[in-house]
Amino acid sequence: MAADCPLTSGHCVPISLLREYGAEYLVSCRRRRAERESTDSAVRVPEKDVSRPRGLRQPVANRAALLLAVTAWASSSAGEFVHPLDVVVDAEGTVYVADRRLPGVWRSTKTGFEPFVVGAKRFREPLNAVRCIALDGDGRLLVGDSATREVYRIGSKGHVVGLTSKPSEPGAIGIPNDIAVDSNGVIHVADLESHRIWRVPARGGKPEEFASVRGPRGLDFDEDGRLWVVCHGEDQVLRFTPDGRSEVVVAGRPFRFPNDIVVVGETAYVTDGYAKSVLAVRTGERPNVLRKGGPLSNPVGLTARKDGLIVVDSRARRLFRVGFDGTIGDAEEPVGPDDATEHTTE
Amino acid sequence: MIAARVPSTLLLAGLLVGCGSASDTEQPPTVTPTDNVKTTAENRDADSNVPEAQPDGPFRFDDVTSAWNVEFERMDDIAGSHRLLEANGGGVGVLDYDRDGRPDLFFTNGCRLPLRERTGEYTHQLHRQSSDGQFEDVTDETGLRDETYGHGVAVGDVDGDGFDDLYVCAYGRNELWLNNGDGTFVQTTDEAGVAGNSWSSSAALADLNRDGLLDLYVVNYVLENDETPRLCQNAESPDGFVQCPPTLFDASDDVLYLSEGTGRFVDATDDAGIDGVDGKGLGVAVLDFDRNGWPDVYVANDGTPNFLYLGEPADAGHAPGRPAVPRFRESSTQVGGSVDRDGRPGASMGVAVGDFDQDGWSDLFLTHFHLSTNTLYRNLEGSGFEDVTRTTGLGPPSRAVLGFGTEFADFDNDRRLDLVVTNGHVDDRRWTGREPYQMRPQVFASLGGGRFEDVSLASGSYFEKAWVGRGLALADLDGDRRVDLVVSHQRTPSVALRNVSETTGPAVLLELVGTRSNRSAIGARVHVEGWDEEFTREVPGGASFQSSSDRRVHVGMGDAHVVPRLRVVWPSGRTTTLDEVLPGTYLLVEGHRFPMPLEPPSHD
Repeated sequence: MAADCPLTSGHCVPISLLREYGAEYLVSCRRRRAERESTDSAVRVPEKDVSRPRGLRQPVANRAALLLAVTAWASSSAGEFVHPLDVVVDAEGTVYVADRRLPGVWRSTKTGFEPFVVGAKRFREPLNAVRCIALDGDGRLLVGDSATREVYRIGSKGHVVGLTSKPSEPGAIGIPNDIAVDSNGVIHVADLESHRIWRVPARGGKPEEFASVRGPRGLDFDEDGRLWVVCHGEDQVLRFTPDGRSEVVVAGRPFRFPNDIVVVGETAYVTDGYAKSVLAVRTGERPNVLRKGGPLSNPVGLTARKDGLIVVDSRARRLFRVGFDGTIGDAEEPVGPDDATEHTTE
Repeated sequence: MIAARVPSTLLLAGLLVGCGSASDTEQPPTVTPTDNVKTTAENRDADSNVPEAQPDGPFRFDDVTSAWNVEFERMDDIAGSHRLLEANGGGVGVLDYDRDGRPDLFFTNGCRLPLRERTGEYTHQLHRQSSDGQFEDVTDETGLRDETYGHGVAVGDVDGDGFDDLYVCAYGRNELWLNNGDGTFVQTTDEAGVAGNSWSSSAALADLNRDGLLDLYVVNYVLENDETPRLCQNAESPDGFVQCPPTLFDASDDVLYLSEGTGRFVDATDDAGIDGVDGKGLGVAVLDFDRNGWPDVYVANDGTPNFLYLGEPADAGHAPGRPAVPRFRESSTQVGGSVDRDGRPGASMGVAVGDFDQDGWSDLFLTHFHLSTNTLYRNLEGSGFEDVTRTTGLGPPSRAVLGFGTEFADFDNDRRLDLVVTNGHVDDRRWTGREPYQMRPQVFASLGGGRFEDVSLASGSYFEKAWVGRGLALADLDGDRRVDLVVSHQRTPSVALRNVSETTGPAVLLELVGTRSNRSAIGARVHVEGWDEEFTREVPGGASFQSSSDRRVHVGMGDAHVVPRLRVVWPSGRTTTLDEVLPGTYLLVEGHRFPMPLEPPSHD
């Protein structure tokens, strides 16, 4: 019965309720409430059936599960980013944005962005310090949270499940700053606290140290299964083979404050917050500026689509489309894999 | 009679009262006598009467300010105007804001006064250390650009997200800056409710109610008005004025804020029993001195007895969602620590905390005014404090100076805590012929047995010169596990001093991360066990003067190749024991059995 649902109006799901009632029950009652109050308030994922865009990190395998999660958490009211840090796009073109100070994850809809997962307002509680997002091998959302030293999976029924910690022992990954998933579904996490990259089994479990890297900021896999890392170390872009052997891709420190990296074919793209830039990196070459300056103010996370990059800017509080030719435009309108929004050039 | 506490708001200095000095007479403000301000070069010449350098000593600090590109000089347009506001100067905060493993530096700045004439061109500054050891001013990039008349800075992870945040004390509004972790900060002062509207000198972040969240103790100084400053007349002074002593000003009460854990703080000053009267506070240190499990707060007051608030269990019956209120009992009269062995309160400025006598209990060292001695209080195993200054060799050398920032540290890794003090007068009174303005900083080597030797003149050129020193912070800036120094000055740039001492042994550097405890592990205690002498190192809240040092715990190993045992007592009460620890830099997370080695950054 909807009347029994402990949730009030609005999109926030207090963690206390989550603990008390469990995510599954809250999902169910939130959906019933939403259906009763307004059929228009239910969020719909764009009904598009397309192949996976080039550059997406993982395909979505279970759309029904995602729909359920979305319905459970979303609000019909559009919102404004507070401090967005990372972005990912699923196979259906839905954009998810990790927001450090929402705190939580936004999701794109036809009418704009709305909160999808909202973390606890209390410090050191689940999802209070969301830093990064990715999709796992089944297209489910992974969220890194430094408040609880945890990587969460938004489960098929709306469950929020921690993947690495046990009640008896705090998580090893203190500041998950980026997540990448390999072709086997193994989760790799950049940890700014331990200066390590950790490897987590696809279904969760104790993290295993993969590599030691000073200040790892961003991760992505290329098509050959190699892990690219942008970091604060003496050499700022490294590449690791699956067995952990490393090579320097970019020697020295050409970036002022690198935040994230995404690999498209033979080229990697790096956001540099302090340089207000997106740069293109090819092995053995100096980074080339793809886009620099306004409207970019502090570019942080980025992801790739077949027609270019989506860059999140924490200071501008906006998403931008940056074409592979350096053109830039606003990416906050609804997007899909076959979306034909034209780029505008400054 | 119990004096009334004065509200901590800025008041017009309209009342003219008698002066505390026979020769100084207070007058209404006049035009700022900037004509009489001496240049830095002139001051150096005037105060250059320093002894010849000693040839050998246990320590050597190289001034690497230029080499490392540490470029900060505090703006102070009232310098030389004899206003009390000029006296405190700025502080230094050490933090690794970008989590690259290299300590960065935050300097508080002044601005034009009165505050309504601020121009926005002066701001506190954050200097980032890059991989080659060079520092770069990244204030604009981080968004920290804001102008206040700043003094102290407290560093800690207020929101528990793994990134250090900043609380800046000022005349007027204080500021809370939360670190976004992407190279930027956001100011949340108003949402947090911690602006105050006083003259704040120092602050300490510590988990006072043991709920795993950092609370905030703000030390306020006196009531003064930036529009109509109080000056004192003196016929002998070249410009006819001198700085009025703090005795002429009403005290401004300290404030205790408890974190609600949602970004807001509540003022729990009264409920928690922070009821000290007439405290003109400058320094603060928070530690569990009596080891009852609850943090205690020590406040260094200027010219009035210091406060020691002993913490007692927090109220267990607090409302849901509201922070438990700890109870404090001002106990300095009962247990000592408020006045010296002759019963006189000092003009206390800075406070250092450390187990100087290696008895396992952290002691207190206070810097004081010119012609009085600094004071070392020995912690009597939690039962009280005893003034042992006379037996340590620290008294006589301090009479000729006026001390501010101070810290204990093991500079040569010989397991014993040494001591450093920065000095400088609050007012330029060289015309007296007996009160220097610039003063030599001092470093004291521990001789063991609780005694120290002044080795300043054998410790590098910086210690041979006279400065107007204020803030002082410790950090291993270059990753060699030797403790370096950063010092802020009045009228001259801040300096970075690289410790290049020939050490007697290696060291362990331990970064502690709380999980059940506050994430910054402020309040953690490390017992070093298994050697003949067993001692402790602690992570205090506050300490020094208006500054915030590197929180990593440094343990010098002397001639040993391994530390037999490190027993970490976390603020939560949990314990982690590490056996047979090799030299190195480690991360230790509360609840984990083993530390994680961290590769120290290369520097050269």
